[in-house]
Amino acid sequence: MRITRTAKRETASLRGIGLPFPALCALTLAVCACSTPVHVDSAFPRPVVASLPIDAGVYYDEPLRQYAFKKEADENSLAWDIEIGPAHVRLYDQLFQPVFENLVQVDGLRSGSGLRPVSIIIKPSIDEYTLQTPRDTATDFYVVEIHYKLAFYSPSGELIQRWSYSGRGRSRSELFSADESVQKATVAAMRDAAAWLLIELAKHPDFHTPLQAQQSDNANIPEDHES
Amino acid sequence: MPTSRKITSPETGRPVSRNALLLILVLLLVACTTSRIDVARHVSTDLSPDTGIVLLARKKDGGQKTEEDFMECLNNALAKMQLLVRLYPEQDFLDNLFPWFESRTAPATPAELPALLNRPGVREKITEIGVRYIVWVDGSSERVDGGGGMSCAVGPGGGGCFGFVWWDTASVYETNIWDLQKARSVGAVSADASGMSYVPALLVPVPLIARTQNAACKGVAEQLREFFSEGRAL
Repeated sequence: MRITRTAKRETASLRGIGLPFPALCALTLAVCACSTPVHVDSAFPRPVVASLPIDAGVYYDEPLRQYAFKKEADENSLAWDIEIGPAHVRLYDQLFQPVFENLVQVDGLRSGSGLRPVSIIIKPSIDEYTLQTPRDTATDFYVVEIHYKLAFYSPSGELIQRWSYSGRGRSRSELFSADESVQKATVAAMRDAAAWLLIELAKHPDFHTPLQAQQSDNANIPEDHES
Repeated sequence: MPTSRKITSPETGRPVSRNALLLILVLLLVACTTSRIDVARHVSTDLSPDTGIVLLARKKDGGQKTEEDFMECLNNALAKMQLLVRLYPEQDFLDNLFPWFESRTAPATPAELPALLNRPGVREKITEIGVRYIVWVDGSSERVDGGGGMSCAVGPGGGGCFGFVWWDTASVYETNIWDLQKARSVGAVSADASGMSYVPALLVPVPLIARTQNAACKGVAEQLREFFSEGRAL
């Protein structure tokens, strides 16, 4: 994941300082700042969960792989270009490996070459990424919210059900490091959402029941399940 | 006839100027910090060099209120003390027990520990990393009041500032110690520190900062030592 920024003016991270001199320094440096590439450490831990006796396939489409949040600079905020697609692919790989007995990555929802050795295909997607600066929230925190959808498909590519969920992350504003704060808030939001997803995958009967019905070719009713 | 006595430095014997005296007086008077530490101990701790403790910042709403530098201060202060336990890194603990100590999943009370420990793999992982006690840390330092003003100017012949700025800071922190093995609370330490900071400026601003966060950190660390040092356990 990479965050770049072009700065015109950054006043949000100066909240709480209250001293004109440091504020002047911060403003001067922020005005001088150019696009700054930031490499986010997006390694995610392997979860401690019980494995489900299911052979699953996971499909990462191009919109997920290349998802980026872009925002133009305005008089109150920096310009943001936050690439979170690749980090999400790594996150989902790490999450799903221990959850399912067998996990394979598939390159499409429908297979052109007959049967697949999986009983379900999962397709994660990012619905929306929102970023609020300390100026927006009137606090000392950057706040990131990420809204997701997780769709379950049969091996032949028919939609079984779809879950909606979200994650929220906050990070305290630090002087001269707005990008680092945003990176931390983003990772916190991803972990928050992942925590919800892991718990629901293990316990929610809506996940298993339609799956069993689908395996016996009796049901194919899409449903929404929200966090 | 009135006589004036000059105050002299005891080391050099030279007279101390009035301005210097004023500065010393100001330094003595300002930037003071008052702090109060409360300790509650419910049961004794079982200590051995193999016993691990971890300091965890309490997270709410996707983030932690407690500053990272406070956590670092507390970890550093405890690392310097002769504790009979070893400190386990916070991030390693969160990663090893993912997702069970995240913002939305972490147990809020010791009563939730048995259910958590019964989840598949959790007790085994905690045993593997050897962490026995969790010290939950919550709280923050906030600027509560302030005033004054300062103006600075720069010209061809030089520059300078003139004015006076002050503000009050309150640092309120609370720690709760849980025994993971026995799934119960061991005790709690809370610290409340407040102080006023000043920045007088006569050409050069002189910041006199009340280090309330540092006072709270030292106070909490000192009391945590009571829980985790040889001969101090009840």
